[in-house]
Amino acid sequence: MLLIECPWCGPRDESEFAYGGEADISRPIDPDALSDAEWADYLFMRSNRKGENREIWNHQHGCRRWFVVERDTVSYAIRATFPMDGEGRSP
Amino acid sequence: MSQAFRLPVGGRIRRDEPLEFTFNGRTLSGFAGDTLASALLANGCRVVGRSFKYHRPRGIMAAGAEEPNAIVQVGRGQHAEPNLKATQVELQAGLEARSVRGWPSVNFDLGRINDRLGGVLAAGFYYKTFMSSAGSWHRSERFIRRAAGLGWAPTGSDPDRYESRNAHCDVLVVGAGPAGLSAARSAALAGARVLLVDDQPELGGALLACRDTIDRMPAKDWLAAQAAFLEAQPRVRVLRRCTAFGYHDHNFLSLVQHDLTDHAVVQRLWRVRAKQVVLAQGAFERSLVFPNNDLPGVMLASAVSTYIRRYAVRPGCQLVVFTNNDSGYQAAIDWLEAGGQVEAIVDCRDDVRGDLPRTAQSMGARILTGTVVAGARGRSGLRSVEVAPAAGSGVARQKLQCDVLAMSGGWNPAVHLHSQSGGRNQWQPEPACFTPGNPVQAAVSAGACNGVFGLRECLAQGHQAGQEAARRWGFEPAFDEASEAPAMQSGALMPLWRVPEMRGRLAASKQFIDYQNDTTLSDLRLALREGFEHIEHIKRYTALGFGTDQGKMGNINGMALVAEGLGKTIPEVGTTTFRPPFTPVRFGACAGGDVGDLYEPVRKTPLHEWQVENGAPFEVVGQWLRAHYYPHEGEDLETAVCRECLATRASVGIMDASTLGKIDVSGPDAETFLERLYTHDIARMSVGRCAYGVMLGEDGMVMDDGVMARLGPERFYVTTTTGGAANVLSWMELWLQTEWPDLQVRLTSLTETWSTIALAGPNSRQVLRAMGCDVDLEPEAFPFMTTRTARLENEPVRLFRISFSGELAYEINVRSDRADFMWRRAMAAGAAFGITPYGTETMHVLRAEKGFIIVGQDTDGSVTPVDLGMNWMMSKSKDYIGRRSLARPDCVRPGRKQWVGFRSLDDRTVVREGSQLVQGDTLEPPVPLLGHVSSSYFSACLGYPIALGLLNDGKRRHGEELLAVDAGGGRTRVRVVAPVFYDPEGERQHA
Amino acid sequence: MPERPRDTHALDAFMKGFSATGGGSAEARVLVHQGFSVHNLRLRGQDHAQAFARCGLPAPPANNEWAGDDETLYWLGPDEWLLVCPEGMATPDFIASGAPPEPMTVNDLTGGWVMLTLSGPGARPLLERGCTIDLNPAVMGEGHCAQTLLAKSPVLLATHADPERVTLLVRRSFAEYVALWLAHTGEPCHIAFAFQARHAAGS
Repeated sequence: MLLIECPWCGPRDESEFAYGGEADISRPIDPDALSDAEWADYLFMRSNRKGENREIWNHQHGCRRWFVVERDTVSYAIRATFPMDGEGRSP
Repeated sequence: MSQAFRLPVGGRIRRDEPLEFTFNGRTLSGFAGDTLASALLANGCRVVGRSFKYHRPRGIMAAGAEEPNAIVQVGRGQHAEPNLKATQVELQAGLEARSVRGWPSVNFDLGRINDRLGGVLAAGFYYKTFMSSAGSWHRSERFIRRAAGLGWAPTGSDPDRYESRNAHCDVLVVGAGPAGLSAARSAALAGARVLLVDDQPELGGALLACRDTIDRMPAKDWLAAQAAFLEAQPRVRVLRRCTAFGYHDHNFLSLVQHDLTDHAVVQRLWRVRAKQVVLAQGAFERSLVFPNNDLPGVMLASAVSTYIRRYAVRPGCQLVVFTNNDSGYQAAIDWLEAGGQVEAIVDCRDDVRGDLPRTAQSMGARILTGTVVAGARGRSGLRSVEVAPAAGSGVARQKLQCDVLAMSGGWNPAVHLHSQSGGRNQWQPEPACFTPGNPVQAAVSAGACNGVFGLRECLAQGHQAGQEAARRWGFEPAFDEASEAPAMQSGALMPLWRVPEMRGRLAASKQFIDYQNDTTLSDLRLALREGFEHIEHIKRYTALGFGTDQGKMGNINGMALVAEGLGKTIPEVGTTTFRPPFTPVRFGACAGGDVGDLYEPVRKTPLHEWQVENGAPFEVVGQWLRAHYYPHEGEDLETAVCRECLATRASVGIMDASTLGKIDVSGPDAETFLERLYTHDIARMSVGRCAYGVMLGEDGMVMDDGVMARLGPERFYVTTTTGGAANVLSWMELWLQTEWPDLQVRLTSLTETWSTIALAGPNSRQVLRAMGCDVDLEPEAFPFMTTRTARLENEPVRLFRISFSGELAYEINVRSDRADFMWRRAMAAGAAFGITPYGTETMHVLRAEKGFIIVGQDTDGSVTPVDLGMNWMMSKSKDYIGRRSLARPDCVRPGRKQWVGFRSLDDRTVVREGSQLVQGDTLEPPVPLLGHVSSSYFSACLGYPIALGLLNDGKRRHGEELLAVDAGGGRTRVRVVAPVFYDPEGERQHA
Repeated sequence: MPERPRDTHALDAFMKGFSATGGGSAEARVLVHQGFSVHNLRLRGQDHAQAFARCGLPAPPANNEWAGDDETLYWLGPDEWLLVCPEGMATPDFIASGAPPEPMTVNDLTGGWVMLTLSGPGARPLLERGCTIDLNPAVMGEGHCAQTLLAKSPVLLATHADPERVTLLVRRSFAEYVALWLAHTGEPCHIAFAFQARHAAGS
């Protein structure tokens, strides 16, 4: 059971959150300008790094905000959490 | 039977509280403060069980969680609990315990024949025997299970009550021995919130059987003072009978507490989030490997001391100690003090010079240095041991009479929790054990579980660990000194993993490494001969370290012997993985209170009571309970649904649709936002208009659907499916917050606030009129797909003229606490029209007649709106989530599954949902599957069965005949038709 | 004169079926509130204090806090508050007018929430059994609130100066589950439930 620092509500149990996958995946401004392969890359391909990752999580049973979590996928240690547009908070 | 082995004085038992209990049907007595094991030993029960595979007689070896043999079943009926260790069962009045193996009895077990067949039943026996012929395992399993089980689980539901509790602390201290108590004290003095847990009924750990002094007072007095101090601290919580069994991520630990005081709750699961953890669980003594080392009477030396000093039980008369280190001498000292006879102390070391050996010698004990126990003899219990020089061929043997052998092979620190937390262990050659490496979470190990075995050192290390933990969490440690015990001189341990090979009968005797699984030295050798090298493979081949004791006593011996066989070092071989739980935990404790009615939240609509009053059976949809149908006297589902369908289409029906998700979408950019999430043109919706909307995933697949209404230039009211409500809101927030934070939009769930009453059928307008509706309901004034605020029964409501049945229909949205009132008024107003309440089943039939989809039933995440023939509602003038994917090659390829209807050729058979569609009749493999039936009902209005589903290239196959084959093998011939069966022109809903 | 509607409470059926009264030995009591109104306030823009002032409201409570006496404001998120007014209290003007000042969006959620007050020495220990946040009064003290899970239901939990008092706001459809959970879990401490007395009709 991870302990995740919501940037607004503070540290809460993982059970209050929903995982949203890799962070920093931007929707292409003009999807039609992309080839099928490029679009598929945006849709399906994720880096899935071993180690440090930036992810988005939603505080589903709290303030309903989405935010960024920097988490190590080997040790599960969380380095920091950020509002979508703001400064980080270390746990 | 009197307690013949009970000492007349001493121990921590309460002699003024005698307790009667039964073991294998015999009534015995003990005292409060006994464990079942100590009481059995006091009563002279040497044989307490039979071994797993060879059915050899076994006795109690240990005094704690490492006990491999004394496995018992406690209690009876539904309260029975199998698989307990007698050493961990607190004695209670009336306790009923049985051995889990031994037929017809533990003292005479026919399964002993297996012992003679040892060569056949060696490691890998089951694999080799049952992998060779298919089915042989199934034929034999019943008999093997009966012979080899660990008890009998009750078959009914568990009548006991459990609960879980969440706790937070600055410092969690696991183990209340000398190190744990010192740590708890120093952390508490620093001001930290401390949680101290210990698995015993009283604090103290090793101190409970300790004869030393601390701070110049007897250890038991020091212990009493520490316990009193900690109990008095408001920021300290002490949990007894509580085992920390799991160390998870982010300093989250799970503990299970047996509660014998609160009769309402038998076990409690503590879920602890600790800022810092001090691990002080102590160490387990190691057994020694020699022939017949499993005879009843062979015990761990520390257990012998514990039984004498803590429980006042001397489990025999003549003792031999076999040790490779100084701590084994303690057993001899305690035995002599308890009036017993010590035949000899057999020490494999040549050089013996510590304080304990000196004391033992001064008390008259004979010490045989450089000597080992070459083997034990006896039938149902230990009678004698043979000793031989440690170095040599084992010829110069000598026989010693004894009924108890106390063995000490050194100590294994309890590194379990440290390992579970992700930490590695390191091999220490000096005390020859694995100790915790660097912690990877906020934890520190102290005392014996950190490889420090002297009392003085444990006290100091615990004290420091407590201060350190508090400091790391920001507390300034108080200036207090560690408690002190006298310094002790002790000699070094000499690793001894096995004794020299013997000749004669002993050479053929089994030497047990893992007692619980009957894993012997020759099993390990066999595994090595057969090419197993990795310790995890050897574990699985020989069962070394499995079982309820998880090899706490003998595992390291096994690893050392594997290392010897492979010519490797012990750290090269390494340990197997330590996983939770540390000791077995009841499923009941894990489930806690989340059972029965509380297993999952049951959400009820505000109209639930009326539905109960009117006899509706309920269907679970998501977490909601929805009325399934409303049977009249003597009706079953089928007849009730036919009646409800006909009445609705002929006059008027009423349904509770309150579970639909409802979201308020407000703000200057609400229109722009919805344009990007739904496929249709939002901008073309004028205020007061409704529209059916479909939401796609970015992959182009249908995700959710519902009707939305424009309530104002900047305000929309969006409905979702019942099951999708939470996901859709979360999905909307995701885009709004991560991708388009510039959009000025706010989302608010109204699902709970508004209840929805659907009125469907040609007379629904009349019912609204009868309810005193204050708006013009004529089609021109209030056309299909529009919404109005209104008053019904003088109450404010919002009316939607939308239809999920194809009939003239309205949905009344009313404040939830007035919904029951409104429904009852609608029933009264509709009485003149024979208003008919209908449930989810009729709703499904009515929509299927119209070919409307149900997301999640007719779609499965692989269906695009094009597949469903919804091209008409897909805007060509804007981008929306998922649009680009619809042009991906797979989405435009010919032959995709498409939405079609089916009619049974016999016009009688209702095809089973889930049936696969195939061509031809023969079903000769391979049979290409062309699609499946997702919805299928009998249509009372049409008089024949209808079905819907997805079929390869379905739109072009109308008119074709196919075979629908269900999972049970049922076959129905069907014709592919258009997916709208009723009123294809859609005239009725515009009425 | 049309029949006056009787508001139904989500716990009507539960309260009818709940026989245990707890009597004088109850270590935890649950008061079930009735007749209050609930509004969700959302703000766009950054200057929350000014927007609140324009509505005649006191300063918005900060993260994880609540404020107020009769009329209470609970923080729900960085741009979201819940306004709860007890029975008989007039709806604030900015809501009654139907046109809140510009950056504010208001949604009337009355009828969609159930409010319970837990009191007694057993109140916090009871919640500890189903709530993973730290309920120690030193951490969760006067004026704090949190949206979290109680057992398997989302709840809004607010604590008071009196550590033996906790307010719970629960979504209507989850109310019966939460009440059942409290009743079952609180059995050993003889938990007692009571409806808050309603104001007389017409007052």
